[in-house]
Amino acid sequence: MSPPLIRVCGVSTLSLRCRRPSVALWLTPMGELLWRKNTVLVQNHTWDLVPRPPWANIVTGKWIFKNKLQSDCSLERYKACWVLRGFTQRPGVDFDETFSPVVKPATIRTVLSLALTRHWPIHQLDVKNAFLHGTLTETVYSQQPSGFEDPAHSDYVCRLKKSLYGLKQAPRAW
Amino acid sequence: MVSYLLSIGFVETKSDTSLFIYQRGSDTVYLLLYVDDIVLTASSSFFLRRIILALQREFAMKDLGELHHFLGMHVQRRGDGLLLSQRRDGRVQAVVYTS
Repeated sequence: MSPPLIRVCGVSTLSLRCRRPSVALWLTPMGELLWRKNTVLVQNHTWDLVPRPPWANIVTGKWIFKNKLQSDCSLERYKACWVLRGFTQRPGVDFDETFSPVVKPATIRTVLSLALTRHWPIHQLDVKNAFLHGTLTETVYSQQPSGFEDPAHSDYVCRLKKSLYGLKQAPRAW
Repeated sequence: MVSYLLSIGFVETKSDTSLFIYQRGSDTVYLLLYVDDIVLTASSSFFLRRIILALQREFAMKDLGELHHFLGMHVQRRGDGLLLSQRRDGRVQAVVYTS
């Protein structure tokens, strides 16, 4: 568990298997990223920490690291993301609909053509942590983010209030 | 996001659920939404600014300025047109020119 896990191109993942990762990890840039991301999740009230219901399916998750590149392929910044393994969700119980509409290419061309011929300004916006705005309607339980288990309640699970990356219903919830 | 857009007067189009249109008098806004990617165009810079500010009051979002990327596509201004291209494995895969 050292910074080289973050490669210049591509995606790396990290499974913090040990209950208490070594202190050294938190001193690396990667550790700092994890702290920052975990803080965002906590501040957004993404979940309630609850005792594990005996019948509940617990969706597992993992930390993912991405390198955000600029258009000239130079490194812009590292990103860390706590994603859930949606494939451990059960259809009909943990999710109903996975449908998420995509933008039709014809729509993009139409809008751009209209804007161009009318000389309208075209801007693009980037939503930060978009999924954290989406409120979940289904009850979904997940494990606590690896490495950030509540020391007093390490056997508790997260009852999700907001959507997270990797959930079957993620793109629709927002 | 969708419910907020509808609450401030946007209408979801029938032909494509990711296109939202706002129309008041001579002011028009087209908004394309795909998860966290948004493309916005409006009949005036002033009105575009107002809509962006309204959205930013509600959601943490960054105005990346003039469109240059959308859904993995590269967008460049070429004269009075736009060049849309898509790269995969270092090769240009598709080129569309609209004007």
